[in-house]
Amino acid sequence: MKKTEIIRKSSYFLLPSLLLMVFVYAIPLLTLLYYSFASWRAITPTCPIGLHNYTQIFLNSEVSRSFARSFLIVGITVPASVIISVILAHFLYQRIPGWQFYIVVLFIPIILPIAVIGVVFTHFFTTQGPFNLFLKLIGLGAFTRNWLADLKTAIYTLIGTAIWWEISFATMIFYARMMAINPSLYEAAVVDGANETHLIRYITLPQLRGVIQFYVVLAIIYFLNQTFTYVFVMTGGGPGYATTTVDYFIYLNAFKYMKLGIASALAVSITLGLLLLVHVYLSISKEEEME
Amino acid sequence: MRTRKFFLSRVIIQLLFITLAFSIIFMFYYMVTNSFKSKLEFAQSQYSLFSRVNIDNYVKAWFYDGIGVALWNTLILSTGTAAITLLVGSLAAYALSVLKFKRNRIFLRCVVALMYVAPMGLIIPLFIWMGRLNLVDNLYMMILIYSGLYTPFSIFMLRTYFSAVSSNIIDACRIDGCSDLRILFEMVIPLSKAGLLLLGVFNFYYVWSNLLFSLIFLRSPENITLMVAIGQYSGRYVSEVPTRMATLVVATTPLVIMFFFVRKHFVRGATMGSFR
Repeated sequence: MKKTEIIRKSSYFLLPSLLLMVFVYAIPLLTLLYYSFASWRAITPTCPIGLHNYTQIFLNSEVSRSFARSFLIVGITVPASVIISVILAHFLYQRIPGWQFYIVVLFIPIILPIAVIGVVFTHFFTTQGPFNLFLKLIGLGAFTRNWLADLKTAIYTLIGTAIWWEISFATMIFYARMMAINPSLYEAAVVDGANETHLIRYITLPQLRGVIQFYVVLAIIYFLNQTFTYVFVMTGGGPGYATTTVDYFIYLNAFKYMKLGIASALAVSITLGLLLLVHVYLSISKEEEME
Repeated sequence: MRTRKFFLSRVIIQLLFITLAFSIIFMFYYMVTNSFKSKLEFAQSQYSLFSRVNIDNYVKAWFYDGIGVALWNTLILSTGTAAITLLVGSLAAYALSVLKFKRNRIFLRCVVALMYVAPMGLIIPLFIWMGRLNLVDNLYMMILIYSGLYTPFSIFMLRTYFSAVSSNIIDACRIDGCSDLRILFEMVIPLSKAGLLLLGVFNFYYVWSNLLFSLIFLRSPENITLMVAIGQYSGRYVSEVPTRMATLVVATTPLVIMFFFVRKHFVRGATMGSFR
């Protein structure tokens, strides 16, 4: 086919998806950029006022605190999930007794919507809930409390719930990748006297490098901008602001407090930050994921 | 010495697995058993099995809490979005993987970048625009928004399946005088059935479980989705736990059934995109 013909045909085929993406992505992102520089009266942008909204980000002390909370969530959830999941995937691969059963069970949380998990776990962590009963049974009765209503523990309870979900997901994709590892690698190492720690350290980890990288980047992006469901369902950002993450803070400002200027400026900031992260990742991985 | 340490580590790992598996099964047990208990029964014990199959909670949730309507809305939204994204995604993926137009790498890069745009950044301007055009609280508009939202992922995923179709087959069709639309619908799509099925399931699931967009855009009781119904009442009305558990069971059963059928293909798809 001639080049011009290819372009003409391709454009017909691309047109519907382009229209949809312009409608949902391009136009909103451009207007968002404008909104972030605009002055607001209720939900109407009045006139451009330069960087005022962005300086508000630095003046509002709750912003830096909600950023700190988001980073805390990422900082605990991602490493914990990766470490535990690599170990679990490794032992599933080593055919630990009951592995077939575990594979089926670990699949269950993945298909449950986060909102559903959030509601059930909210009940688990109440004063009369199963979690406190469990603590009493194993002799840690002194620690029982209303986990989500306590200023100190609320955010860690959210993190625990998130890790619980992430472990199932990460173990599944790590295990799937491990199926491609040649078992003779392990056999040779065992003959040479390697123990289980050596096997994980020198075979499993290097073999899983690509998929771990992929998972880590996705998880960072996810927990920096999509903790909304967890927070909304489990705590509503409270007690006080104890579990208000960045994206929940944007939601509060945009849809509850009607402070759309600062909400837009923040949304622009995290969108740009995450795009940068994606760009860096795609450059590092040299588009190996794209093939 | 070595064997003892080996044994100990195995026991610890086994304990970890058992705890995890137990918590997952217990979660289901808690949800299902409590959904069949009366309020009194629940107050007496939240851990026991229900004494008899009592569907009062389901009836109550269905008719009084509007779960019946919400289920119907969620079905329309999810199915509509899955259908549109499959069609639109197939067309675009065909252009990218079979026609291979000149700028297709740059286009693909942009599509991948869009997959990771912060939803909070999109929802503010979309909400204000839709408010102005008086299209908030409109199910059909919501289908379009969701379709747009999941188009990048759909293109990306279908492209990898379409690229796997041998170019010899396509060339042969072309020599026989097939138009591109016929090649797409009669050759490429039938050969990528597994991919299309999986993508349909994914987008169905995404819409089904999305709380943020449905919460912001669908406001009136006759338009809410299951996730909005679940999310809104979380933490309130503690005495209504059994009814709420019935709602959760209604909201998850279709997903469990659906995923049961694609379990084999699932992991491959999940490692491709951002399955969450």
